Amino acid sequence: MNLGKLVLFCFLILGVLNASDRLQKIKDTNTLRVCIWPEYYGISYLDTRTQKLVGIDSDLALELAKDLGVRLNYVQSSFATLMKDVPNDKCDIAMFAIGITKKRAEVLRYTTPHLSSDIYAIATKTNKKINTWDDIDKKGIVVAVAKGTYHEPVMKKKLKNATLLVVNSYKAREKEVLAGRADVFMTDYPFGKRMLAKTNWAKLIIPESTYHMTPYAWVSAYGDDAFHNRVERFIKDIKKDGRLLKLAKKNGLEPIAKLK
Amino acid sequence: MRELVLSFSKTIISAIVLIFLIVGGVFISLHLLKDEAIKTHLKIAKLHVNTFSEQITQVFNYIDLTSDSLITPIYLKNDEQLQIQFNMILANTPYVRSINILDDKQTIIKSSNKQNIGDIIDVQSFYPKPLFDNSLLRFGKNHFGRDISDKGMDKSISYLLLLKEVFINNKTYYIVIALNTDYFTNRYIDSLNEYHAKLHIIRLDGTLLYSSKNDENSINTLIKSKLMDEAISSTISSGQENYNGKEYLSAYYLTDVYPLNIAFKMDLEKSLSQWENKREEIVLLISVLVSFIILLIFIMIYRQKLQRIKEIKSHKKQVEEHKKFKILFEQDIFMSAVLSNDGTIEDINPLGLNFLGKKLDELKEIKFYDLECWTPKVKDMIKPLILADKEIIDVRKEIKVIDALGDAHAIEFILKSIEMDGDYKIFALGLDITEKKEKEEKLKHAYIVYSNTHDGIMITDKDANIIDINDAFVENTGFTMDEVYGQNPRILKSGKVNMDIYKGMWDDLNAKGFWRGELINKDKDGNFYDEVLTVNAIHDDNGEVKNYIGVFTNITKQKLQEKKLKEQEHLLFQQSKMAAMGEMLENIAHQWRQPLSVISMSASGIKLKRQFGLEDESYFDDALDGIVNSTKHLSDTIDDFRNFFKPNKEKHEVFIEDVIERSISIVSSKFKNREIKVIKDIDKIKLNIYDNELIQVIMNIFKNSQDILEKLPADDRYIFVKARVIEDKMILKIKDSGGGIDEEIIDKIFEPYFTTKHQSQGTGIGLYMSEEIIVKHMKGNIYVNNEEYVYDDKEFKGAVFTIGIPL
Repeated sequence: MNLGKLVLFCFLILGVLNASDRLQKIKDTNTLRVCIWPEYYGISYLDTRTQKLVGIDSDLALELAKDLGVRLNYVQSSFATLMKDVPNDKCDIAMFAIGITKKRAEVLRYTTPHLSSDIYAIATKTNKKINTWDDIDKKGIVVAVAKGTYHEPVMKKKLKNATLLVVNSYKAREKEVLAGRADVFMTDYPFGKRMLAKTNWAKLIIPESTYHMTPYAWVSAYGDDAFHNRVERFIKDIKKDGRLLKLAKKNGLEPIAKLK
Repeated sequence: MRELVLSFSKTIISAIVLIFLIVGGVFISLHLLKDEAIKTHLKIAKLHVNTFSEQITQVFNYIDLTSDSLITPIYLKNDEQLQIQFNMILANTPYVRSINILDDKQTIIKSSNKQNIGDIIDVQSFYPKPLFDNSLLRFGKNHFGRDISDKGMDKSISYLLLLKEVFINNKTYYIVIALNTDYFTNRYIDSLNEYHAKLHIIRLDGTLLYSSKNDENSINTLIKSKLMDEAISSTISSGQENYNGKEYLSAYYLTDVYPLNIAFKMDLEKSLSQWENKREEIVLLISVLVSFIILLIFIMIYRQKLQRIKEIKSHKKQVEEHKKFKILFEQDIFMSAVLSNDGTIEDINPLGLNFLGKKLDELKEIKFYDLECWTPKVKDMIKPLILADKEIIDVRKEIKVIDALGDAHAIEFILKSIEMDGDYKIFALGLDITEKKEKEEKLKHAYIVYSNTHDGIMITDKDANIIDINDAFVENTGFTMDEVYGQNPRILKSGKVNMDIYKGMWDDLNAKGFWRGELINKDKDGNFYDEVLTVNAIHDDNGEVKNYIGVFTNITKQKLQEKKLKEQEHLLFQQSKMAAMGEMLENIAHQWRQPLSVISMSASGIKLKRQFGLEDESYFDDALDGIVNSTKHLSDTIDDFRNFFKPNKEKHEVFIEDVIERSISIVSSKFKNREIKVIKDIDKIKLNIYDNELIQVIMNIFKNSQDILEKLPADDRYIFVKARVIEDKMILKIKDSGGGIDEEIIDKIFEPYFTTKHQSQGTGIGLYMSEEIIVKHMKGNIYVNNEEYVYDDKEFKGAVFTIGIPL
């Protein structure tokens, strides 16, 4: 057992210990703590001007709290810290469209996915080299991805000719492209929509066929079936009673909602 | 003229509509231009608000960064360094009025304005409330006064508070900066004045933090604006809106980072005033131009209309002509045909087709002169005409034509060529004058009759003045045309006619239009003549009397003849009566012979007895009785004859049986002497007649029978008298056994003076008178025939006189 696996094991044990009777604890404290990444447009985006969260998962978090009959407490998290925040009991559940990857699943317990997105690319409108998806994997093309996202391993595997540039943050991807140091950055459907809505320079490059469809779900710590099952029931409910569709529509994510 | 007025009205209406359209177009154009101007202004507003937003964001960015620069002095608790930092900030930023550091109790502990120290600021009133990051720049409200320490005393000046929370040494501090809002006004004053605009900074909760105009009443109030809401969802918005009762062209911009909406509002009226001024000039210019154009158009339209009216009139005239021609062509008075210049039939009117018994399709393309209706003579006349010089055909002739049924008609025929649209057409017209001809013929005949008739004819006008007479009139009256023209027919008046007759004549003429009667008139020489006059009133179409036509027949000679005839008849009657009287006397003689013989014998017997002294009383008595009875018989006989001769003035109701008995009684002696047996079979029938006349008739028949029967053996002398009622008549049959009347003369026996007997025996008027009596006096009838019959097992033949008298 190497050190990494030991740490992971410790996290799991800790998570199991912390998570025991999580549902009861939530009820006892009357608080549901939900990890969100406040920069995820369409999912859990914090409008700094109003300090209000906008997105499908922040809305569904409210719905979950309502179903549980408790108060909601958003906890700031990110993809970079997710693997620590959840097992460390920083929150009861992370709800910000977490792409299902094997690595994450080892540490985090995924719920049934409620969204599913392919990979999209964003280039500047002035970029003459990139017009179609096929233009991306060409020699001399620089493709930016954010570190820690599932885009990183996928693109590492897929790109044969283009150069992959891994940057530290989401915003760094945009800056690389805007500065011309990269030609495109890879993102998903919600973020791609945000780029089109909030900037006047972005050009969305859509794959001509499914490139790498990734299901999005929520994660909680392993070890608390009662809470997990309750969340699963919630997911079933929102798919059945139309809340998922309604909120997907509200946030412009209807095309990627997994309604069944 | 009416068309001109109508056209003028239409032109006026068109012009008005045109004016409205042009004026409408101008106004729409101006409206569109105004819209365009508004759009342009909105674009300007958007540009300004974008620029201002970026600049204002930079201000707040600077304040955000500047606040961060204070963390180190606070952390180091280095007041000197802090003051230096304060001074540096104040020196570099004309928009910062004071910098204040508050402790966690929200009390100012450090400040660039010493007077502020100790003041408490409500941190919770700042916006927005952070969800995760407490260090974000928060916005307070606008406050009156120069600085926090003023407590809002000076309303002419204001400042805006900004807050940044810092966490230093496990302690929370609040950096509050008083922002000089006038800075923005001063910075943008030129642009704001140029566009009559105001600049607003509005917090996202709707609180108006700053206005470049003196809107002190609005500051810190909540503003509601659709455009502002639109900007929150889509960053930028623009449009026309009402703010505080005034129209503005506004643009809103949502800052990227800060919870602020920047609004640039241009006063609509003032912004567009320059444009409005120009618009007035444009309107004036366009109005003049449009008026001029309209005037030109009006004149042109009017001229066109006049031209059009001319054309319409001309067209109407053409149409009218065409219609007239069509009506003329299709009329049913004369037959007409249109031919091409080579004689090919193009059209024939219905009357012509009917005459020919063909359909137009059957005749098209056929040459006119080849029609079957022509006689060879006519065809020979028409064909060369058509085939010769077509341009000058003009023929009018009366010809004979055969119709579809083969009947010949007299036709007034016209063949004429006419120029049409540069070409020549031939028109054939035919008027059927057969009837006219016939009428003419009849008129001719009538005239011949009129001229040659023996009846006098006079024609008068409505006032009964003679306007024409015929030859017979002249012949009958002696008056010539010149003498009677214009005269009233009363010139012929004899004065012998009762005035009532004339009155009756006029009454009838007025009522029935006809009168017929006999008049006695006087001719030119003063001689009277009888006439039968028939007068007919001739009426015109309105029913008014136009003429009277009097036709008279001179019956003077006829009257004389009638008179003679009457005299003859009278003579006949007298003869008949005389014959009857002779007959009667003979009968009397017969009747009296026996009683006179009895009387004579009785008287002789008495005388003889007295001479011989034979006083035989019983004989005397018997003889005297015989005398008395005979006398009585004689007396009865006289009564009978007297009754017969008594003139019958009135009809009597009698039974036919009595009449026959009386007749037989008169002739009984004769019949007895001649052994003529009368067999009677008489029903009881009542008649209303002149009984003596019927007796005379029966006796005539008896006499004829007696004359023939006395020639036969005594056993064969029979007369059968039978009376019956058949239908509404009494039928009396008197049949003898005399062998019948010779068939050759049987039809003549009722003629006067016809007799088969010797002059001494018959006058020949007996049966004639009998027929006269039955037919004229009794309205009955009498005829004779022969009949063979069997009586008492013996065959007989005899004449049967049948008399029918209406009941």
